[in-house]
Amino acid sequence: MIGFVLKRCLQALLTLLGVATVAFALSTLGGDPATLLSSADSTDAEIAAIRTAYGLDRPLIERYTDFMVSAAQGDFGNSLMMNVSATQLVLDRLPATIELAVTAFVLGIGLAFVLGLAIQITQSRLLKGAALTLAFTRQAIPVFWFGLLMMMLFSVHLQWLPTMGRGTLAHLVLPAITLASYELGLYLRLINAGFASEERQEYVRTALAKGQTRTKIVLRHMLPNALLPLITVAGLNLGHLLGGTVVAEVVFSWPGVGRLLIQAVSQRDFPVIMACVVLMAAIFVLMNLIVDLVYALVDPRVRMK
Amino acid sequence: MRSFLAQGIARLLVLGIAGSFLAILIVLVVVVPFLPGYDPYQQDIMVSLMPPLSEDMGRFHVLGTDFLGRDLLSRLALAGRISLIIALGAVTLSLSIGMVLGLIAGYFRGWTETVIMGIADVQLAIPKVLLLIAVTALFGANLWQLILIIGLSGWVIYGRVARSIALTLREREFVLAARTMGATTSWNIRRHLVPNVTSQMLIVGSYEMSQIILLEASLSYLGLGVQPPTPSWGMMIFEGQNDLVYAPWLSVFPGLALFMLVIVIQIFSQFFTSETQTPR
Repeated sequence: MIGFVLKRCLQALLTLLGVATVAFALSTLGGDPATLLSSADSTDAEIAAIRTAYGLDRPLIERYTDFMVSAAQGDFGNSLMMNVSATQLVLDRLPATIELAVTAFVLGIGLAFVLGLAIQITQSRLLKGAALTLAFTRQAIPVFWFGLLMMMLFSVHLQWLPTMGRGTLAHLVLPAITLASYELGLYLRLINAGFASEERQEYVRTALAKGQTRTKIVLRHMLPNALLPLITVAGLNLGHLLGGTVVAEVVFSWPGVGRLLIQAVSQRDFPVIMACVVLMAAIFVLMNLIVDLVYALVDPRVRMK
Repeated sequence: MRSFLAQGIARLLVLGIAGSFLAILIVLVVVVPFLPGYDPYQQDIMVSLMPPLSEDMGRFHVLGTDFLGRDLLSRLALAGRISLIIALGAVTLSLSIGMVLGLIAGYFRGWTETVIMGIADVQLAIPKVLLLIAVTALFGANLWQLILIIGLSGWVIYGRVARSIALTLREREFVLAARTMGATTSWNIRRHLVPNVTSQMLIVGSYEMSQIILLEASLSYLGLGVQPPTPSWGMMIFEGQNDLVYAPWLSVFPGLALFMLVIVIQIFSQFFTSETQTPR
């Protein structure tokens, strides 16, 4: 087990190194910030001065090692627009994003769990068909369009919920449901597929032959096995959820990292863009590391490999 | 329990409906931007924000007009064409890269595999939307750049599938026999591996296509897709969202078109998947 943990941690570290390298490569290839910071009538000397001030005139290798060392310390330089630490800007916005993403995740997977169990225990074809069709339909609608439709219905027509911003629980409802409904569909399909493959296992038939009730078979025997694949997919899918969160934050003016990122993009504020992308990716890598370790804990087959 | 016949008929019906929608969409997308008098870029402030099915001096606006008086149907069709071109281009690119790299990784194994799959892991570690936002922010986005960056960022899934198939194929008799008889590696990969992964690649590709259409729409909603005046569904929805109450047609039709296209592609994708799996 210790070997597995060490190996997996090393792998996560290498991945983070790769992510930071990609970020550096992108920012170097993506143009010269000095021309952006100067005005149109700046002389070449002024631009050169800006370049020296930001250390852009040094050799590439030197800049790369510098970037990696400060990135490891969580330092991506100051925001070009606001002159505060880019990392601080991201950290200030992070709680809002986590609040939204976690709510959506818990809501989505929780409802999928309840629905999946209900379908499995009742064996209702109608319920299964209706739930899967709705899930299928929802997954064909992009986050921003679904969010706008929800806003039209619940904020504009019914006036039950606020359209935008963050603050009360009511503000959280629409963006969370917009994201959770997508997650719900994804996990419902997975849970159903998991149950379907467990259904054919011999232990189910044995339990039935012994006279066990269907509810007990589903809850005691099938559920733990059917849930296992869910853990891995949940980790991988987090990236998709974070992407969706960016869009939902823009639609609902939710003051999170996603909106910060889009704002930084429109102002071409490179340090903030890099800080957003690298820190979000770091969170994603960390979550996947945790997921893999948990998986190894519950399923010995993984760590034996 | 439903009979096989009823199930078959229901399936054919769904496929038929999906197929006709796809056919209508393709005809719209190909023909409408060419119709004389319905230039998607032509502005006419006198007819701005006309509701659907309105007529102005002999010009009939089936889906109405936008703020600048441009015909919405023409713009919708042109945007659909761009969306399809991007999706097809990006899928072709990711599929080719992913298939080649995946087959090489699975066929050679060893350090080649470690390096290729290591790159794949790093790429997977960056949430796709974030990566695309960063890249489009830095390099800008026109049609070709979008195809290139979406295509380059999407190869991993094909690579993984191709590799896992190649792992079993390389041990199969016909591959081993060819190798013993002196077949070169590239010949073996081209003649024996590629034909055996194509159907799997196309299945992944058909699903990915729907995802890319959604992704491209999201990017253009955020202002990071093709730039105006070139239309795109995401941007049209963004432009219309503030007038959702007074001029709902501005964003409802692009939203509907997006939904229809994605769901039709997904229905076909599911059909391909179930057709190639072992019959039950």
